[in-house]
Amino acid sequence: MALKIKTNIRDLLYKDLKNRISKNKLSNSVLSNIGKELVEDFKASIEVGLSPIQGKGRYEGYKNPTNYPDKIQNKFPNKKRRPVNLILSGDFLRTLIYKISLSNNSITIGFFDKKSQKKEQGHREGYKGQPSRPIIPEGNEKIKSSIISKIKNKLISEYNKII
Amino acid sequence: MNKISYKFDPFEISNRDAPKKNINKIKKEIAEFVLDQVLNNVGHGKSPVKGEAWKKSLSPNYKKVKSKLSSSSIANMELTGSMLDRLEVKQIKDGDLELRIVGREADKADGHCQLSGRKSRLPKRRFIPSQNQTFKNEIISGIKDIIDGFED
Repeated sequence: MALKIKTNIRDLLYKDLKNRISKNKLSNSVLSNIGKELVEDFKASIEVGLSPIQGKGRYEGYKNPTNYPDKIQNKFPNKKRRPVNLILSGDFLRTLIYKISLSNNSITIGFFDKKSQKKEQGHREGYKGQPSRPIIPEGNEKIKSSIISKIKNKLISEYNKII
Repeated sequence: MNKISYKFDPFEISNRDAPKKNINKIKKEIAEFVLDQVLNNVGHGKSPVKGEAWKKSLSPNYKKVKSKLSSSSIANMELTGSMLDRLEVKQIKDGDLELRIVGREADKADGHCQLSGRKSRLPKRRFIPSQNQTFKNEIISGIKDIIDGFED
């Protein structure tokens, strides 16, 4: 009598891969490379006036451009009406950094000093009547697909080497 | 002209079967992704259309004009921002998605994209594909990733 075994190949592979990923942690250097890319992608998005947050789209133009940014151009000659890129001196976005945790294999991206955190909050809430221009996802918000896709591909490439 | 547009079926252009579940959710995410990618490419002076490219540099005269309003000195389709503010990707009646500019900015966009066949003084800088074209490979890959990332 023939013995038949029916196996769901996809389930087998899925369970095996899931176990291997949870058992094999990414190294410090790999996490650092991913963190660095994440920060660069955030900045590349913001510098052309796009929020890095899913669904937030393009940063809205200045409400009263003859006031801001036109009036501060004496002090900051490169600050113009477009693109709306959250750059004045550049100090704020320079403080956008990543931190890694080897113990739980995670990366945190954000502003870690109080001054920049206040500025980020101001952009999110719309300081002095400006439109909201959020940078760091909050609550149910997510990083946008284009950035996640790049990071996922990098992760797949790294896990292919170790599992 | 009232509208300049590119209509596409995201499953057809990415060679993926349309899923049985979550189809509207997937299309919404793809619409946001495509809009973001078009704006991101254009913002960096690149065409999002496969096979298209344009010179990033500006004429000296226009560079001078642009420098009064913009901190960018490359061909990024943004002087006042009014045209790119009108760029959108929407789901239309037959279920396809449409990358488009509707309203008075459509003429300006056509001056750059040159899809209507009308003469334009401007160099061709196509950021909306013609119906015979498609998006560049990295955008198609991103659409595939979104579709593949949803459970069946």
